[in-house]
Amino acid sequence: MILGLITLLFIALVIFGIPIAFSIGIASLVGIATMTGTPNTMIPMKMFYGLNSYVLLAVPLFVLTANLMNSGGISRRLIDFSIALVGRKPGGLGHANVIVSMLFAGVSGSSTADTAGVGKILIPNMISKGYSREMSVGVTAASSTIGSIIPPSITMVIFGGLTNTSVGALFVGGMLPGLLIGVGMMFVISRIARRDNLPVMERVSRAEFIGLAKNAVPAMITPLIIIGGIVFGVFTPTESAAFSAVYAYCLSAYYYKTISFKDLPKIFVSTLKISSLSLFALAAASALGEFLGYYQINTLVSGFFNGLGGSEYMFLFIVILFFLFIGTFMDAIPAMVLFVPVIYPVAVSLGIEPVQFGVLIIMTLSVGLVTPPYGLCLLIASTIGGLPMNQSFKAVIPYISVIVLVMLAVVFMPFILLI
Amino acid sequence: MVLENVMKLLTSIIAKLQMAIGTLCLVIFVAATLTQVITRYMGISVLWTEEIAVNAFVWAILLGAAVMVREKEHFSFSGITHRYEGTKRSVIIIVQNLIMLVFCILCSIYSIEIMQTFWNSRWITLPELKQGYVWLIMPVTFITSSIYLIDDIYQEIMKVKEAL
Repeated sequence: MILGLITLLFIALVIFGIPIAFSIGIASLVGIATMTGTPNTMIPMKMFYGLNSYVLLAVPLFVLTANLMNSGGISRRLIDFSIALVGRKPGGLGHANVIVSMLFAGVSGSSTADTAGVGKILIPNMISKGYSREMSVGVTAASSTIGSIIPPSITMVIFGGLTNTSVGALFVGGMLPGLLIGVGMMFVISRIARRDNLPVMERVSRAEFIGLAKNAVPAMITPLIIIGGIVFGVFTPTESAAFSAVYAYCLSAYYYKTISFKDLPKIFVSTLKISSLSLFALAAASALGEFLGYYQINTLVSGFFNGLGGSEYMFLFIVILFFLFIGTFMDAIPAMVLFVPVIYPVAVSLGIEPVQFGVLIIMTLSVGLVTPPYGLCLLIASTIGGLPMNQSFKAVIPYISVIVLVMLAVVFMPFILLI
Repeated sequence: MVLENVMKLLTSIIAKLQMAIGTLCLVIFVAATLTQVITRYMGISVLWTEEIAVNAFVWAILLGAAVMVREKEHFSFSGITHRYEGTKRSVIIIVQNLIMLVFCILCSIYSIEIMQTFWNSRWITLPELKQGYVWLIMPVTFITSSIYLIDDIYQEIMKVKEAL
């Protein structure tokens, strides 16, 4: 009864426009007030302990790396290199769009930064070269979703923080599915290119290619520092994030010479603002966890799934459908902060590997980035391309089916997560 | 009008101070994290880096979160707010802010209580430092958020008055 009322209160607050972090906090406060023997001081205490975790330090550090790289004009360099690499294939700019998203994913871990940075350059370029608006917007928005799957991924750090799952294992787990999505999207582009006779780009001379590679390769080393450092035990994920931030600064300041020491305060302020939004919501969710634990919500949810037959696959499919739905109107981080603490213990009790569960949730929520009404990547790309939202959504459907296929592969063949 | 200007100046100074301290905390935790790795590979045992990094991180994030209240950047569904214009919109924003204000004031009170409880506890790796300094961030966050919300409520009331 109380649980139902608190849920209704939370939904009402969110619909009324109260920020999600505050809605969680208010629902927790009211919920905890109903718990006998639990003081209300539990709210700030749980919020504090929710943040008091070393692994979460990686979030602002990865945001800082992305900000440093973006200020260093990395998008342009990665795009030029990708076009030189695959532009000669039919539909070459489409292929380059996917390649650059995969490279950008390894550098920044932010899908929306990818859509905005790459879209601004590639969408007008594609349209001017004879690609349809649908194709240009569709491939740009869809390929950006790879940003949260290929490491480093901020959503993976949040999942790791919420569930005590190894962030390093999640990073490794996201690599192959991310690459498979990229390859699958390029396959879709090949088919469209053959059907629509899409143009090819001019050949780039060997000297030009080497020049472009020299510009792009140093930035592409970032994921190697992160993943290599974690896999070979040189760094923890947090330490690797700190080193990648230092590397990003050195690269932008001394190699590309696009930022100076004077730019750092602005970059740090922007990093702090972006990071505090998701992490404050996570802190509030820690307080909610206390309330949910008291009312044994985990037992209720697992009882519900056991009533459905207790099948691991059935559970995963319901979770996928649930997060696909949630992702249509909610950002990945608040969605995870809200629901993962409730669903994760059930997944563990059914014997599902935490890495498999985490990568699946992150892939599912990445689809939400390109589905209306709240698909941020779709919104950004359709605005840049001047295409209505419904047509933009139609254009991303073939690419969404690639993500869904890879998700099914993760469900039935978890070995592709390299766990 | 005078009160409005004073409020604007006050919130602007507090926000700038919070961002400056938050940025400093960010720099501290980046430096502490790097020190941890470097000293580990030099074979020097430095135990305090992790505790400093985590505490600076908590301060940075919560200071940033309070400033985001002022800048109205926290994740939210703005459907209802944007459906209306003028006075109606102002009234909705006032009610939203009042709800958040009650939460922030209550949390300020609870935060002060919890800070007092932990005040004399010591850091694990640096026992000369009190835990109270770390817990101080909780009342700071909620009290400054309350100030930002009061300022915003005041601005919206002024808009309504002007419209009437």
